[in-house]
Amino acid sequence: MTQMMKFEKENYDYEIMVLDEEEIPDHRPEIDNYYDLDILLNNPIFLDTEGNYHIIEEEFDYVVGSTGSQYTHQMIEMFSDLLINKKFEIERQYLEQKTMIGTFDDSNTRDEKDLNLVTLQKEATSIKHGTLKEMPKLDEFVVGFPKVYVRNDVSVYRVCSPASYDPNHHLVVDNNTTLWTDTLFASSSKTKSAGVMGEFLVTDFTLNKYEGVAFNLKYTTSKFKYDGLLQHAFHTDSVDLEPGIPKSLKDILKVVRQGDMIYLVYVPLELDAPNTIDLSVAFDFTISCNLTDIGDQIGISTFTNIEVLERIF
Amino acid sequence: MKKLTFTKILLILPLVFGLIGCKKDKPRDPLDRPEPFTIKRELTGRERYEVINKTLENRTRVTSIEAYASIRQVDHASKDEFTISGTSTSKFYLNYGVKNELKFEINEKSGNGIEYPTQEIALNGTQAWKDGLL
Repeated sequence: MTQMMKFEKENYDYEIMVLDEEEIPDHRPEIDNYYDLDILLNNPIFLDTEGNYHIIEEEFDYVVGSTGSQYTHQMIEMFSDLLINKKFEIERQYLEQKTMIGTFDDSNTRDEKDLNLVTLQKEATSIKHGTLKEMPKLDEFVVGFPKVYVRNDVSVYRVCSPASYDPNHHLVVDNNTTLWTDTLFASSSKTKSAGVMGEFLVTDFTLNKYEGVAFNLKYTTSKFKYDGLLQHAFHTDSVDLEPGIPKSLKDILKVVRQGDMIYLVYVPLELDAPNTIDLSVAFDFTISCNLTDIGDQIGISTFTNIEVLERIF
Repeated sequence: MKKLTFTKILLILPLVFGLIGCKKDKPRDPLDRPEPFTIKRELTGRERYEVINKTLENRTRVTSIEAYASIRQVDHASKDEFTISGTSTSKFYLNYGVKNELKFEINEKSGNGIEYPTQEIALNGTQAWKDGLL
């Protein structure tokens, strides 16, 4: 027996549109799926003995095709019933569609029981009518609606610069020189509080001797404006990988903080040490956002489960 | 003695029938085919027009839609099975307000009998209008 695995992942989306009262349509588009004018107009309507109305669709197909000496039999059955009650309300819709297949040595029509079921589709809908009411807790919903949110476009921008020891034996990174840059995707989902949470993993990361690489989380926050439009703000937070460096690598992997940037630098101790080190880097992140008193957007990133491991394959 | 037994039976009968009457019906699977009905007649063109008009007018009075669906597919050759089933509920409110809840699960079983982990997915949405903003 297979044990059920459970992964919980939530994703929330927020959107605001401008719509004046007089522009509000009189019914929701979801309702039109059942009040489909094509179905209503293009089918006969039957009155039953209870005084209700039915729109019935039935289809039956039996097809035989041959491949060499074998015959494939396919039977398709469809039944649907749309029930309109005496008060002219669509009360329910039912749809059943079945496809059966069988392979035989001849083309003689077979009974359903001799064929194998390949598709069974069933749909049932129950519709209730009445007087529309105000949405419960609408004011609470409006007040609780976020004013600013983090967009789901998080990436990690890596910048590599040369590193060396200064005359005071401090390890410094020459951030005026850029050796390479790249941008990697970070998987994320939106949280209920209009933030974002996700994870980042890179397994093919090679760091050269006396080079520093900064892992910068890049993300965007958006503020709803009174006119429904959005005002974006772009953020970059450098990730401090130091908590994730294992003891075995602490002597040769150093973290250098310069301004807003945090670099990971490979500084081997022995002269004959390899010129490069292959690493994998992983961390989880959460990003929340807020507005300052003057309405500026701020993003707050938190990093957990940081791991920097030497890649041995 | 016989008379006493008969009286006892008479006294017990209403209780027995009462219990039978109270016996809970097995809850009906919403995906079961609806109860059969008897067609009295087909509507005339004019009657159809009236029914369609009045029915469409009632779109604005829909307060909730509950939908159930299930699809089962079996590969004819490999016998791999794929099932998706779920329910959705939409509740409608004044001013274009709606609360949608959709839940479904996906099950896969290979022809070799391997059952893959069930995927459960829930999608909820709320849309409300207030003071010019939706």
